[in-house]
Parts: sequence; C-alpha cells; structure tokens
Amino acid sequence: MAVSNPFVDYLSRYTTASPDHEAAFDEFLAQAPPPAAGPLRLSTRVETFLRACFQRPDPPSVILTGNAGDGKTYLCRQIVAAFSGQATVDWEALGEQPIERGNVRLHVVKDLSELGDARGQAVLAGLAHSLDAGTNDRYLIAANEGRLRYLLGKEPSLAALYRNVDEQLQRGVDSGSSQLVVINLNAVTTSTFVRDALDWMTADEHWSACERCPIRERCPIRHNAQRLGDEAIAGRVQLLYQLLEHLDIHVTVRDMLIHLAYTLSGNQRCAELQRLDAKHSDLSGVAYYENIWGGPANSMFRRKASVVQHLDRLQVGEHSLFEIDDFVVNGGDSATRHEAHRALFAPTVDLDFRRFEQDRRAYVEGGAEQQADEEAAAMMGWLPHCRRKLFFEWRAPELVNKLIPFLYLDTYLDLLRGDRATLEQVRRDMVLGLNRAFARLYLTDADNLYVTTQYLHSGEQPRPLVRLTIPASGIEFLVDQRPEMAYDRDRLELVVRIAPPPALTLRQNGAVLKPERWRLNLLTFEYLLRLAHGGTFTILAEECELSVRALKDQLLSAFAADAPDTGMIEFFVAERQRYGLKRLQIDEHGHLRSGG
Amino acid sequence: MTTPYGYFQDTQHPVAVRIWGHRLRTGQHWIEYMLEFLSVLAGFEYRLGQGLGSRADEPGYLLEYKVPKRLGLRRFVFYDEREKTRDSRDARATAMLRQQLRQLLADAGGRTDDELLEQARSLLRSFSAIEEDRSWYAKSLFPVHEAFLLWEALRKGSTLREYRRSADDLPLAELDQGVEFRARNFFARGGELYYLLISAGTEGDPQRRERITERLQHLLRGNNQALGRLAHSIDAAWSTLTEQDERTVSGTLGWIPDPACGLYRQFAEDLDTFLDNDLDSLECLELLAHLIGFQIVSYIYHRAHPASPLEGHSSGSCLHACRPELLIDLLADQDGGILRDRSAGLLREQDDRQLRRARELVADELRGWADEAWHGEQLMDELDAEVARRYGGAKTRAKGKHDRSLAELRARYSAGAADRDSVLREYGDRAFEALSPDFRRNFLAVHRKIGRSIGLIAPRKGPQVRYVLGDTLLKTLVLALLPRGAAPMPVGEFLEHLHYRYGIVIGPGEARAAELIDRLRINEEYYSRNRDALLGRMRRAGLVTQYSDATALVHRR
Repeated sequence: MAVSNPFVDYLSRYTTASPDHEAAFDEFLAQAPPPAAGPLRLSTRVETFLRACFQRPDPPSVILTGNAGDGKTYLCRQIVAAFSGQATVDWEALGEQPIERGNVRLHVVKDLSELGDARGQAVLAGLAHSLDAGTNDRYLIAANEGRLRYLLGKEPSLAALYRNVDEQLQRGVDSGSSQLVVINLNAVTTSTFVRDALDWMTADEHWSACERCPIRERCPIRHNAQRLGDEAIAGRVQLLYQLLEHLDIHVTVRDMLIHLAYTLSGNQRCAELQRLDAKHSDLSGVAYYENIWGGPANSMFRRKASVVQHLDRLQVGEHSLFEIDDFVVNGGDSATRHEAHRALFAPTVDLDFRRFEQDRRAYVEGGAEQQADEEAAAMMGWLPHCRRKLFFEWRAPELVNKLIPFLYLDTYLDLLRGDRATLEQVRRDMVLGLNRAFARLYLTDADNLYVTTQYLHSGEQPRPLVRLTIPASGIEFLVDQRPEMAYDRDRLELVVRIAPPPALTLRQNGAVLKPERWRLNLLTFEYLLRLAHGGTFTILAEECELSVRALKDQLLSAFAADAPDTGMIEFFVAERQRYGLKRLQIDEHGHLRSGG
Repeated sequence: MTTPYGYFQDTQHPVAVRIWGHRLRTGQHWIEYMLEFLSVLAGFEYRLGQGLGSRADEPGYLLEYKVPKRLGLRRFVFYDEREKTRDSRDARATAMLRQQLRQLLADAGGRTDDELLEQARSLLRSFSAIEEDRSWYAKSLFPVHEAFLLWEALRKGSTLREYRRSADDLPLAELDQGVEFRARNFFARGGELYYLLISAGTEGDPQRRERITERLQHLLRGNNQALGRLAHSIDAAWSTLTEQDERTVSGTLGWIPDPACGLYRQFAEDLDTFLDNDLDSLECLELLAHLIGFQIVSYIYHRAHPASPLEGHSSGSCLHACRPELLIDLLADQDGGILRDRSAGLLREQDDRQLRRARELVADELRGWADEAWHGEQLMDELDAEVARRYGGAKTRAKGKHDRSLAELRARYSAGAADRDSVLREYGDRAFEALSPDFRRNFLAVHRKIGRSIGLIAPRKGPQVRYVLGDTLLKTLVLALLPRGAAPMPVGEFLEHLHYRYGIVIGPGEARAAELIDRLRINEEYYSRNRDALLGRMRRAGLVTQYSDATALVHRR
C-alpha cells in the first residue's frame, strides 16, 4: 500500500499558486483539514498591538496599508472577531452598517479599492469628520497605499487627513495622534518570521507519517525537512530575506510562506517521488538549496513568485570563486578542511548519493585524455549545485558570503553591527564616492564633500562649480533602529548624517541648524563604494543615481539656499595627474584674486 | 489675416513668415532661442508686452530693446590662437584687453597674472553654449548670469577677405568698427517670436506676467553673482579702455499673427508652472531651453494643421481642432519597429502639412487678389506684380524654367484655352514651386532641428526618424504640467493632459482620442506596451511612484 504524508499535500496548497490565493489566503488554507501540529500561527506584534487597541474602551481609528498578501484582511478579521465577540465574519453585513459595542460604532472597510471613487471618498470624509468632531464613530480601513493617496489627494477638504496619514506612513506610528493609527505593513520585516515558519514546517509531528514509507532514507523532501530544521541553515535562509530587506524589497507574508513551502517540497508529491525513486532517477534537483532559487530554469513557479525573481538576480552559485571551487573539487588543504569536506559531501539524496563523489574522483584522479572532457563536464555540472549547497551548509560565512555579488556586503553588515574599526576608512570612501557621483569626475579629495553643479552641453570640458563644501568631519554614519511598538521591524538601517558647514552655522547667529539625514540602502552603499574604489559610473547607475541626486537636492536646499554673495568662485580643473580645486575671488570693485 | 502682434512693417515676407510670423529660421541653434529670448527680455527691462508698434505712444512704453554689445567679454573668452577667422584688429584688441585686465588683479604677488587670467578665461569658456565650431563673434555663453548674455555679432566680410592692414596704428575705439549686430543669422528672431508668444498669452493677465518676469529676473540676476561680477568687470575693462559711449545695440521685434490664439495662453500657463520650481539655476535654465524649444515646435505644428482656420485663430476652438498627433515611440524596436514605423510616418506628415499649408496660403491669396481686382488681359501681369511685391521674387536657378512655364500659361490664357479658375490654380502651383526651395531650405527643417536637440525626435543621424521623449524633456513636461505643491497626479490623468495640451500620444486611451487606432491600424496592445515603457522610464527618473496595486502617481520630485 502506498504511504503518503498528508503534510506534503497540505504544503502543496501553498505552492499551487492560483488567482484564488490572491485574496484571503488564510481562508483558502483553512478550507483544508489542519495538519498534525495545528495550522501555522505566526505571532506578530501588529496583531498584538491591534488587539490591545481594540480592547480599550476608547479605541482609535485604524488604517492598514500594504500589498496583497501582507495580511490586511486577516488582521481585519481578527479585530472584528475580538470586537464583536463572534468567530465568523459576515463582510457583506459589515459593509452596510457598523458594529456597535458600548457607545462605540466601528465601521469596517475590508478593502478600500473595492469601493468606487465616490464611496471611497465618502468613507474617508466620514473618518475625517469623526476625527475633527470627536464623535463615537471609529473606522477600520484596509487599503493599498496608492489608492489611499489618490483618493485623499483628489479632495481638497481631506488635506489635513492626508497630511496626518502621510506623516505616519513616512515616520511611523508614533508621529501620529492617538486617535488615528496608520500602519504600513510594507514596513514590517518579513525576515522576522522566517524562523518561526520554518520551525513549524519542519516540526517532528508533521514528519512522523514518514516512518512507514519505503523510501524514507532516500526521500529528498524529508531530507530537506531535516536540513531546514537545523538552526544554522534556517539562519542562512533568514539572511537571504534580510538581504532583500536591505535592498528595500518588501516580501509579503503570503509570498514568504509560499516560497518556504516550495523550498521544502519543490511542489513534489509522495507518490511521484516514490515512483521516481523506483526508477533510480536523479533527485538532487529537488534539494532545498535549488528550490529556494525557484527550481529548474523553466518552472512556472519561477515566473510567478516575486521572491524568486529577486533572489534570482543575485545569481548565487553561477560564478566561480576559487576558494570555494577548490574546496569542492580538491577537498581542502588541511586536516580540518578534509574533515569538513567529508561531512558536507557525504552521500545523500541531494548529491545523488555516491554519484557526486564518483564524478569528483574521476575528475581529480585523472583518466585517459579521451574521457577527460566528459569528466570535466560532469564535474562542471556539479559545481553550481555544490556552491549553493555550501552557501547554506558550510559554516564559513566569510567565504561563502562572497557568492553574493555584492563586493561590500560584509562591510555593510559590519557597519550595522557597530564595528568601529572599519568606520573611519569607510567614511572616507563614502565621501570620495559621493564626490565622484556628484561631479562625474574621478576626484581624489576625501577630506571634504563637494556638492557641485555644471553645464552639461558645453562644447568645452565642463568645470563643475562647487556650490557647497562640507568637511568630512561633519559627516558620520548612524545605525538607525526605529523601535516600533506597533509592528515587527527588525531592520537596522544605515543613515548618513551630514552636519551643516561651519560657515553656515556662524552666519545663523546661534539659530540651531539641524543636520541632514540620508538613508543608505545596500545598493546605494555598493554603488558609492565601488565608485570610490575606481569603478565606472555606469555600474548600478540606473538604480542609484536617483537617490544620489535626491541627496544633492536635499543638501542644496537645506544649506545653500540663501547663500550670500561672497565673491568666491570654486571649481574643479583637470591638471596633469588629478583634478584640482581652484578658487577665484572677485570683490565689489571687480578686482580679481586667486582665492585663499 | 488678423492684425499682427508686434512690430509690423508691411514689406516683403516669405510664405513661411505669413503663416508663422517673423520669424523662425533653420539656422538658429536650439539653445539660441532661449538666449535670444532672455536677451530681449532683459533688453526690455524684464517687462513683457513691450515692443508693439501700436502702443508706442503710451507713457513709459519701450518700443525698442537694448542689448549690450559685450565685445570685450566675448573676445576675451573666445578669441584665441585656434580662432578660424583671424583679424589683426581683434588680435590687437584682445591683447590690449588682457593687459588692462592685469590691473584688475588686486595683488600681483604670488602666482603669475597670466595664469590667473587664464584660469578665469577657461572657467568662462567652459560655459560655451554651442558645440559647433563657429567664429568667435558667433559663439555664446550659457547664461549663468545676466552678464553672460551675448548678442550675435558679425565682422562684416571676414569670411570673404582677410583684413590685411596692420591694426597697430588704429585708435582703440576703431577696433570694434565693422562688427555688426543685425545680421540675424543665428539669433534669427526665434527668441523674439517666443517673447511675442508669451506676451500675447499673458495679455489681460498681469499677475501671470509679473510672476514670469520676476522669476526669470531672479534666475538671471539672483544666482552666481560672483561669476556675473567677473564677466561684468571684464567687459567694463574694455569699455573703459575704448571710452565707448555706445555700449548697447537697439532692436525692434518681429511679429506674430493671431494674438488671440488660445495656444499662446496655454504656453504662458505652462511656463508659469514650470518656473515655480526650486531647481539649481543651471539645471533650471537647461530645462527652460527644452521647454522653449518644445513650445516652438508645438506652435509650428498647431498652425500647420489642415484644420487651421484661414481667417485666423481667435476662438479657443483651435486648441482642439488643430491638435497634432505626435505618436511617441518608447519601445525602441522591442516590438519589431512597428511603432517606430508609424511614428516616423507621422513625423513625415508634419513636413507635408507645412508644405500644404504654405501652398494653400499662396493659392488662397492669389484667388483673393484676383477676385478683388483683375479680369481679362491684365490678370497675368497683375499676378506677377503682386507675387513679386508680396513674397519677393523667386531668385532661384530655376527661374528660367519658371518663366517659361508662366509664358506658356499666359499664352494659353490669351488664347482662351484655359478658364480663369484653372489658370489661377496653375499659377498658384507654379508660384509655389518657385517659392518652395526657399521654404524648404529655411523653414521646413526648423522643427526637426529643434526636435532632435531637445530629445523629441530621434535619431540625430540615421534612418527612420521618429518621435521619442528624452528624459530631460520628460522632466521638463512634468514640471510644466504639475503645479508645485499640488497632490500627485495619477499617470492616466497625466497622459491625458499631455495629449490635450500638446497632442502627445502614448497609450491606448490617447490613441483612441486622437483617432489613431483605425488610422494606423496597429493592435491596441502596442500602445499598452508603449505606456508601460513610459511608466518604467518615469519610475527610473524618479517622476513616478508605483504602488503595489498598480496605482502610479506622478510627482514633481
């Protein structure tokens, strides 16, 4: 009799992505019988926060924004259930009239986009009125940010509400009033939940049904489950999600669950795997470290899942790195390395059991020239696979992190951890990179930040004019962790803080000038450091130029807006081996000097 | 034709001028439209609406604009060993000026004077506005400050003969003799035309006028004052040296037809919205040059439209009736070049429209005269005389052929073999053929030349020339259409505005509104992909924020 694990079937509900999934993902899941360890319940801070809000006698109005799959509908359901004391929710009825509890009337809008323009604006007008007049009406609105901004922007009478909403969306819940809470689920770091989700998926109760399976020791899915249950490997998966967050890419909770389910099962079923195993097929492609990038090249999953599209661009494992390839092929040059190699490359299903070792031996130990090409090809075929395996399983992050094509990823992570040793050098690099990005010339000065402007269509070589000079000592890195009470946000952000130039502070006669802050994500950090180390302007320019220009505009309007006429003209000129800064001073009588 | 707006003198005018005003000409470089406009505006003391012949009697009214000659500055920056039109007078003038300038240096110690002068010179020269290789008197500077504005000059006869006499004995003031400022080859009055367009568009709206002129004045005088002082003192040094009294040149404007056309008001609105920005001054000027170029091209297309009413644009209906169809190709051959092909066709059609309009004008005017006056034998003679009087004789090599065909026509008419109408028609055709070389050479290429430079038409050289939208032009249009401080605008609305105001067609909605779907016979899907390509471009340029629910909002920053 065929044995099958019902949990694998349950997982396939996650991975067979269809339009039904788009709305109310959890309702769809709830239609199936729950698995052995109970359905997945991620405890999120936002849910706790909202429940607490609505248990108060005087709850606030709440607006939830986020992408499809962030959990807006789920949260609405939880809140309504807690508020009204009823387990099931009738959305139809709710659309017509509010729920009453005590003297509070709660209007619930499960999706603002479902209402037309007129009704949507009416709802928002009602909210605005309730805030202004202090009535007993409260609102719970779930919306997409775009739609919300559009509706608020169209109607001038909603301007005050727009400002309130905009403030909270940009600066977090604390900046708002206590009457209206606006939570942007896009700001929730999904990486926070990766461990819990993996723990649940790999829980022993779900895999006890495998005991009686004939291919128990040879099954790729069970192998995946065992590996992903390992702390260190789960941590590497979480690292990938954190990496995406550093690139300002938001993954919804739903997408994460689908992705992790696919990583575990590869969308395979027990019966199919048993059949393939009977035929001695190569099941190494179902390894979790292949699934996590989307699986085979032409899988439909690869096209549909946004997480995979982002991860795919990292191309982990596609490029050769000497230390890693050497380790894979030769086994390392020390006893500890040999030991590690033996442990890592033991014959398991993800290496097609003995075949990897056979191919490796054949390649390394030579053979007749005639067969050399075949052996080389076989070995080359294994390399990307093994690189990806090592990325998760080899406990040598300083080596395997290089598989991610960010040259300065480790520097970035070090800065976030507060490592002061590299701080000074990176600061100089940052200033140099910004100088080069602003002027579009390979300047060499890292002692000052020069904000320049130039005429681009000149027939002659342009001479960038310096509009603003800020000493590098006034520029520092900060690690910003905006502590959020309202939702999970475990992300450290790198911020560059730029002090106003000393001359400006003097002029202001004691008025306090705020330093400017500029948020730096991994991509822009990489762009600037590459520029500082001699890279060309085109690398990452398309993605990052905008952020750099925004900084330039920000600095100019903050520090150079009312610059008095000092008669000083500063500009860069090409000299023999570098670009030099020249100064001309012209006084009120029109006398010209070279500036000091 | 309605009363021309400007300084109208009833002399001969070529056909192009009778339709599009005096005047637009191919020789003018795209940035010179802005340079000329700003010079004229400064020359009218930053007041719009001046220079009209009909108002000369009003108190405090300026009929002429005064632009400074600034030969000293110009020579200092541009005349050097590599100059292609050498003249011993200019060489001496430059040398004298440099000597004088050394006195400007406050202290002569330390670095040598020459090096400092040279630095100043190369700094100024780095703002050279025109990439082409012209003589020193035809080069211009980018107007980082009002003192940088240089008016077109010409040393008469310098390209034909070299000045052989020694300049050493001449008094300094005579070194400037022979430099003329009214050649108008490069500053061919396109800037004056733009001045008139904006003046006409703000008639009756003094607040808008005030805003525009105030901002432009601030743009030219309020920034880069040190550079301005530098330029000014260099020029002042030359003036003191030559003890000139006459430092300015005065000029009068051209003219435009139909001052009540709704399009001019639209231009003024967009200019007003655009100028309300907080860009760096260099960037603002660069975008302003793009906006001016774009509006002039719009103006050409507007009046070339077949539905352009002959009696003149005075009701607002011309805005809708005379809207061009500018299909923008953003797919760059991703679609196999289909959109590119159609767009190229529409561009060619604009040429045809201009030619047709000119031809119609000639035919129409001929008919008008003939109906008024002549019959019988005199017809041909009178027509000849009238054409010569109005349009100028056709000085072309084909004159012989032209005369022969006219003679043949005349013979037929006398013999009674042709009736009056057909004679008029044929005469009109022949007359136009004689006039069209001039039209083609001097006017027809204006829109292409400007379009290529501002990023509206691509490629610069090569086949399949069609409409595109460069990033700079895109940013300019966003700034011109979205007022500062307004809420972000949905992309669909933005595209509608682009179409409504300028006839730009990108997505399926506008294609339908412009009735291009049937005419061009390509699947709507191409327009959708075109629209998506625009969205991607705008997102990368930071002009659009796209939210997850596919709401895309256009904003200014």
